[in-house]
Amino acid sequence: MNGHELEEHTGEVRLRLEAADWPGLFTEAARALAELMTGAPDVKPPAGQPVELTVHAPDRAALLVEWLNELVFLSETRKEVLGEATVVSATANEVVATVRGYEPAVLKTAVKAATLHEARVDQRDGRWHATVVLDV
Amino acid sequence: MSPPLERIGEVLYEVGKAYRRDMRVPARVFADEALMAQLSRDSSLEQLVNVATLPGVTRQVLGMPDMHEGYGFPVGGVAATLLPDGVISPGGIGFDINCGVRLLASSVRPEDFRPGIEALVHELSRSIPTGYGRHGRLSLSPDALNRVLAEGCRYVVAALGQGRDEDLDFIESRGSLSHADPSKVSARAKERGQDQLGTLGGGNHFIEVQRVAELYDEKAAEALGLFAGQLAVLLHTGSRGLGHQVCTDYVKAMDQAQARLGIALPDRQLACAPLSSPEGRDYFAAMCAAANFAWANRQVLTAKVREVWQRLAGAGPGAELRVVYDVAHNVAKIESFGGRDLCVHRKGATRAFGPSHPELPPAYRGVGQPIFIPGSMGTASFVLVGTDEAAELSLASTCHGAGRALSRTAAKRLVAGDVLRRELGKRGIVVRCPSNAELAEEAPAAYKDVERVVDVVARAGIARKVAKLVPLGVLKG
Repeated sequence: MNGHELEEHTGEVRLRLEAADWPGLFTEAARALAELMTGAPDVKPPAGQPVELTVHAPDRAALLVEWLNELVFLSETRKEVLGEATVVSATANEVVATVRGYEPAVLKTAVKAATLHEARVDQRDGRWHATVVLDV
Repeated sequence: MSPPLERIGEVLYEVGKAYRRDMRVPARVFADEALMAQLSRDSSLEQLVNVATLPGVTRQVLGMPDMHEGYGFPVGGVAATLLPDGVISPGGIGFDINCGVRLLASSVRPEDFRPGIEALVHELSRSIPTGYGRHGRLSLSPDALNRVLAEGCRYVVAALGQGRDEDLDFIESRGSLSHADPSKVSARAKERGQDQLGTLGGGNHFIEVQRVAELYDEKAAEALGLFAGQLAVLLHTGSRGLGHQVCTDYVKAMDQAQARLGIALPDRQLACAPLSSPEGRDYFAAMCAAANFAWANRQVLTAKVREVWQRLAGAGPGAELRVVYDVAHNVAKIESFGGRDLCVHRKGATRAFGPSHPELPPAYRGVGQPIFIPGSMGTASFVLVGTDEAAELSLASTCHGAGRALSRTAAKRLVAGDVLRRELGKRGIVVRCPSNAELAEEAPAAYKDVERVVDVVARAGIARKVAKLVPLGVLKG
């Protein structure tokens, strides 16, 4: 089962993600970001138009950060929380996916960006784990 | 393990260069024992040590007494690099480029403001977009946005009628950095900012209606146009999504350029480039443009506040709000120290020019540059002025606020939002905030003691206390 935690950090929010496979980390990251933005643990069924995304980065940690930054950008410009991601393909340097979301009544937490600070991705016990600090 | 600290002054500690082989300069922190104990609980000291490894860093890297853990740079960190080849690091300015504070002073006391504070805060909340992603009233054409980025406050005053020419005299750098180049700001950043001019944003941004509760230096207060009992408005916001995207774009670009530039750093978020390199020059031009956008944002908000104020107060005496000053606390500037040009990064730190600095407006020469230190919600804020000694002691820098002591989650565990709302109400503070949870995140208990922070900078000689302000109304972003 995939999962995430929003951990304590003095000024910001540290996101911990876990997934059974590499593409699952991107799905879980979208869900976690939506939870942080709305304050609600359950992602609502998407109502907005799907958006196709292709994100590139030189390594896995940077790719996850880039993915989150793409979602932050789309959320702000589309006024939607994009909590549902369907990953078409994911390598160490590229992810192709479709994301969908909805316009929330209230956005609880404004996320400015995902950072490279302590950004980590690793595989342990056959599962994928990641940490990303978000500026909120 | 926390870095070893040596006390080298009454309120000054140092981590020597010997602590880590990659340190190029010592790291110094202004704090008393209580604040030092607080900041030793998170990773801010280690982050400050990481900053001391930046290529071209000079003198010392500095932590202000409100310092806390950030990402890359600590919040409350100051670092200068020697030009022309010293680096600039987007992470050393942060995502909210030119987040800053502006103080507007009225000529009346609360009891003379007939409509009352409740009505004022209510009308401000109706007129000023708060929270994430809300549209402002000024949606800019691409050309107008480029003009804002290039010219900052000057453009919004002259072309958009947002305020008066004389406001510009009382804004750091007159609200416009000349190195700005809108062509270095990405289309994505412009898309984020296109409808955000004149919006407050979320997080810890706010507009507070305040009363001058105490004067510490009557002569300086008089020069700044402040008097006991005076009603004032404090604004805190920055460059919104536009600035966030500029930082995102250039951290990515610089991270990918580190190997080519031959730079190895202990934290990827410190990614940097020499200011003399194309990457460094492009980021500086984009950062200056984002800083101009932030000053323009505070100028448009000022016009909105004035409009509400005048609608309520009517024409005549008491209808005016004067800009006391406007300071940036997340920015990099090229400044001269000892005849050498430095790129001074201030992240969660305020410029603090002394009374003899030529960049001060004529009215404040002999007094010092005004500095505004907001406390947490419901607590006091302070007006300080810079000192000439700060140039040597702290690269003409001082603190920027109370500084977070607890995470948002910990704050919510400690304080219930509805209880806090009632407590503030009992103290006569009018609060407009969309949710109790958000209110709790910014509770006073989540922050350090602002009075202690301000006392430390005064004892260190890097700023002087002028006045204490107390809140009467809060509009939270």
